This record gives sequence, C-alpha cells and structure tokens, in this order.
Amino acid sequence: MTAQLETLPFSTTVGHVTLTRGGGGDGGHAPIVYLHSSGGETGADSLAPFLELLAEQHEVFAPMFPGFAGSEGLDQIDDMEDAVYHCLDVFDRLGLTSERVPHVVGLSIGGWMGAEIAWRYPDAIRSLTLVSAPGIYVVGHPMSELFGRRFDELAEETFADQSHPVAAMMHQMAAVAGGGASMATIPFDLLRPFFESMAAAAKIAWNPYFHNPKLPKRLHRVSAPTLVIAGRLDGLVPCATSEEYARLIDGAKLEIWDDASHMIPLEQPARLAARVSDHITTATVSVAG
Amino acid sequence: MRLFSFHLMPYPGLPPDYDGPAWITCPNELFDPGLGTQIYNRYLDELILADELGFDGICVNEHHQNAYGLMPSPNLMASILARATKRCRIAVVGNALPLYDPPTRVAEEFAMIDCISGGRLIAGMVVGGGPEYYSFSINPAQARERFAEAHDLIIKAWTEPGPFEFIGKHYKIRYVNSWPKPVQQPHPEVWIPGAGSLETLEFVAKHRYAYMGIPYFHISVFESMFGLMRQACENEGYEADPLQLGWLVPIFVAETDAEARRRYEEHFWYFVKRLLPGISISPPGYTSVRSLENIIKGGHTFAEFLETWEQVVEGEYAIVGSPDTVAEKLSANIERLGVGNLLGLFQLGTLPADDTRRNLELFAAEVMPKLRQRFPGTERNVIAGAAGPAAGAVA
Repeated sequence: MTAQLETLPFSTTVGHVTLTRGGGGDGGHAPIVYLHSSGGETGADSLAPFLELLAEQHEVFAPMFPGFAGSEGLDQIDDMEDAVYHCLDVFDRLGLTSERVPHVVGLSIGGWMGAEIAWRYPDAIRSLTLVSAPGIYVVGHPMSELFGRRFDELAEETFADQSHPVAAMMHQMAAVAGGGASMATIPFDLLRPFFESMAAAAKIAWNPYFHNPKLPKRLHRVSAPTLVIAGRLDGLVPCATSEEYARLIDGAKLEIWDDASHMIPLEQPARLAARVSDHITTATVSVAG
Repeated sequence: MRLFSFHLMPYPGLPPDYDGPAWITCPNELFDPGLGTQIYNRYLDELILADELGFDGICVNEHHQNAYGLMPSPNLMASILARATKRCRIAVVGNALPLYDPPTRVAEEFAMIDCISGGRLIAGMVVGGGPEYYSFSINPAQARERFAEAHDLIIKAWTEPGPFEFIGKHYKIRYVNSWPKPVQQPHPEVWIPGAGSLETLEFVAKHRYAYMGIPYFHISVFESMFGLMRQACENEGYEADPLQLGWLVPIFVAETDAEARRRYEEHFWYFVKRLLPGISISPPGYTSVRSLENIIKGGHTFAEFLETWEQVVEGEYAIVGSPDTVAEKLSANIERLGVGNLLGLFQLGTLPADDTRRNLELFAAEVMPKLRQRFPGTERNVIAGAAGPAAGAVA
C-alpha cells in the first residue's frame, strides 16, 4: 500500500507556508515531522518516495520553510533563532504537542534546525534523526562552499549517483548555462526556486557559515533519542560533523554509510525510511520503559 | 553635461599563466608591493591631471580583495585628491555602506573630505559588489536593508543636530554626533551606482539622487536601465533630470581610428578577460528575485563574454578612435541614453602611463569642447535634500 500525500497551504505567524501531509490512519504512532535541506526538496517532488514510506505507519508532515516552495515569511526570519521559533509555531498549529509530540527527521540544514529545537525545548521532540547535518564547526574538517557554486559541482558533492534525476537535472542546467556564463538561456521559472531557497539558507547560515559556535556546549541538553546518519561520499558536509553530534548528544547512535553522499532521503529512500522506523520504534519503547 | 574622469586603479601585473578569477580567491601572493607603490602614485597623478585639464570631476570607488581595483578605501584616495586638486568635484562612487560598522564612519570621513576640499565631494553610496559579501562574510540576504538603514543614519547624522540616539534593526548607536559636518548643505550630492536592481532604481528616484549605470554591458542594457530609472522618477511624480543619470564607459582617443585601436585593444582585453572574471558573482539574497529576472536577461551581454573587437564596437563597450570618432560616438550615445554625466575610464587594464596621459590630453583638447558645446548646462534642476521626499525620508 502506498500512502497518499497531499500538499496544502498552511497558516503560520509569519504567513502561509506550503505543507505536505500524509498517512496517519491507525493513530497508534506518533507523527513525524520532516525538515528539509537548503535544496528545498518537497513532498510533491523528489522527496515523495521517502515520505510515502514513512506515511505507511505514521502521520507525516513536511512543512516548507519560509522562502522555499512559495512559503511566505522570509522577511521575518533573520537567523537560526527565528527559524527555531517558526518551527515551534508550526508544531503548535499542527497540534504536535503533548501526546502528539513528533519524531523529527531533518536533512542537512533541516537536521541542524532539529538539533537547535531539541536542546532548547527537549520536550518538544520525541526522537531526532539527523541526516547529513551541519551545525558544528570541526577544526580541520570545514564544510565545503554551498553558495555561488556551479550546479554540476554541487551535484558531484551531494549525490552518490550522478544519474539520479535531480543530479542529472543539475548537470543539465550547468551545461546549458555554460557554468553561469548565460543564465538567460535557462527559463527563469526553473531558476526562481533555486534563488529563493539559497536566499533563505543564507539568512540562517551565511555567517557563521552553517554552524552555531554555541551548539557544542548546548547539545548535552538534548534528551530525545538521537540517530545520526552521514554518507561517506558527502562532499559538502564532512562526516566529522556527524561524529561530533554523536559524541556530544548523550546516547546518540552514529551510522556512516559508505555508499551514500549528502542527499540520502532522495537517493536511498527505502533504506533510510527503514532505519528511521527502527529508530522510532526503539525510541518509543525506551521512552515508555 | 558634466564630464568626469573615473579611475579603477587596476592591478596590471597578473602573470600570464594565471587564469583564475580576479576576485575573492585571487591569491594575494600575486600582489607586488613595489609595483603597488608605483601604480598608486601614477594613478593619483592621472586623476590630478584630469583636474588640471578641466574635467568637472574625478571618481574613485571601493572594492576589496581583488585585482580589478586596488581601492579598499576610496576615502584614502579621495582625501589625497581633496588636497592635491584645486577645482574639480571629487566623486567617491561610492562607499559600500554595509561594510562599515557603524556606518557613522562614512558620515565622518565624507565630511572630512568635504571640508578638506572646500565642498567638492560627491558622496556615493553603494550596496557593495557581490564578491564583497564573500570577502567580508556580511550576510547578503540582508544587504539591501542594511544599506537602506545605514543611508538613513548617515543622512540624519549630516542633517539633524546631534547628539541623538539611533535605534535601527542593524545599527544601534546611543550617541550620534558627527564631528566634522560637511561644508555642502544640507549635504553633499549623493550618487548611487547600480547594475539594474529595481530596488536601487526606486531608492534613487525616491530620494532624488543620481544613478550611475555600472558599465560592461551592451549599450541596449544601459538604454533599458535608464528607461527604468526615468520611469521610477515618474512614479515619484517628477521628471528625471539628465544630471541624475550617469554613464560609465571606457574611452580612448588617439590621432586616428586605426592608431587608437592598435594602442588600446590588448589593454582592453586584459581588463575584460583577466580582471572581470569573478566580479559578477551574485550571492544569495543579494538581489531580489524580481530584479534578478531583469538582470539575467541582459547578463549574456556582460563584457567578460566578448570575443571579437567588432562586438566591442557594436555594443559600445568602449569608445575608441580619433577625436572626431570619439566625439561623434559619445554624442550619439549621450543623446540615446539621455544622460547628463559622462564618466570616462581613461585608463583601463594594463594601459600604460604615457598612453593614459595622451588619452586624457587629446580628449580634453579635442573632444571635451565639442561635448561642452553640444550639451551645455551643468546645474541640476532636481536637487536632493532641498525639497521633496528626501528630507522626510530619513526620519
């Protein structure tokens, strides 16, 4: 059975955001919130297979952050602090509190956002899964440059398989633009989401570059059972960052996948969904016990 | 028509085997301080010569961590020029306001230059180039709001009695009380350079400032940019004064057309192929999406992509030729664009000192009189700060 996903506008304090929702039939499991990356993957698009798998057992919510996929309110977001409170606002409005406190799965900047919520409000998150998450500066292992790069270079750094449809599209865009020489040859509607999502990411992560200097001394506060996953082939966020998360969060489990790169939910949806399900089940049992 | 001599102060010594960008990551081991001593002094001499030759003004600008232009502090250059020139306007085009924290520094330094020069400063204010947001790690997604707030603070520092408190989103200063204040009242003329961002055009129109089109595009791109500027002024309820519009263009004059091209072409190519690469990087959020769509349309005409001299001539990327040719081409384009300020780049790329001097002298002797005759009038009708929205907009 494939769970149906629906995409709907959703009202928040900063304006309307786009929300993907799916599953939730039997009511026996707590909901899952997916926080997306700077790539702006959506449930209506490349993320659908992964969300559909999760939605077989759980109600799943994937809100698009302000600036992504038509979500409003970026003018009211200046930094990670604002992002955290926007997420909490979304949780509240979706009723994801008390018995319905959600499991949070975040990719890249979305994972970092999840960690920033989890140390501030440990009770707001039932379990945490960080996938390819930045957020900690590890000396000697800096994150690669995301901003101002050629599409093909980014594809190389973030996909294990360059024939994945999204990676292939990035290569195609780079080829058409001649490495940025003539963006005018690409239809602007194809570029618009890219510009908007990069501007949104810059608001949060331009400086300090994709990290919060205070995060290492705060992570001990995270009480949600945490699973940290990274791809050995990730050319954007070094695995050392994930190792550091796992070291600093009490009881966190670390998995480094040899054949994976950065965009794991897009490239390995089945394997990741299975791992998230396992983690959630274990987390629920251990919390209940 | 007002005639300005604009100097970029480029680095002419990039080695032939270096083919990387001239911006952000251009290794500074390529900078030779001995050559620096030579060219800074030479370039200052070239600007001072323009004053002696009767130009209305000279221009310097601000760029960081690059080989394209060696003026991280245009105010240092302008303060030397304020002392060494006697007559011409000194246009700093401009200070990149978001890079000054607090921006009261700009109010202070500009006021110093205005005092030293006896009221000859033109105060340019600019958002800063895309590369500067990488070099300074200033958040480009906040560039526009920082610029607008810094601008308000500077104008207020010049026009309202201090001390006062300024509480903005980005700048919070409990005691604003600029010493010195500018000679020109209510404040020096303000110029804003831009590359076609609609927000910048609207900002300039609203404040009745002057808009300087950033060069290196096909002439048709300027035409549409100045059209948008005139429209923006109309939207504010007034007709744009030609002296609110400036066209920046490389100019080279020699005895004949053939001689001009022969002497000039290699230096032009050094400029576009060696010094421009990297300049057009647009960091995230630096330009609004609606402006990006507009800018990208003209982006393929960017000079870096030029391949032949015929393209250079056809697109009017540089005005090169005998005095008659240059006078004719400049006149035709000044009319076509409707601009009242001509900002000539008389030194470009590796153009040597003797060619630059001869260029300036020939222009002054044989082109300038023709332009003066054809386009008389150097006083602005639309004045910022004297009346209208500019005075109220800083509240």
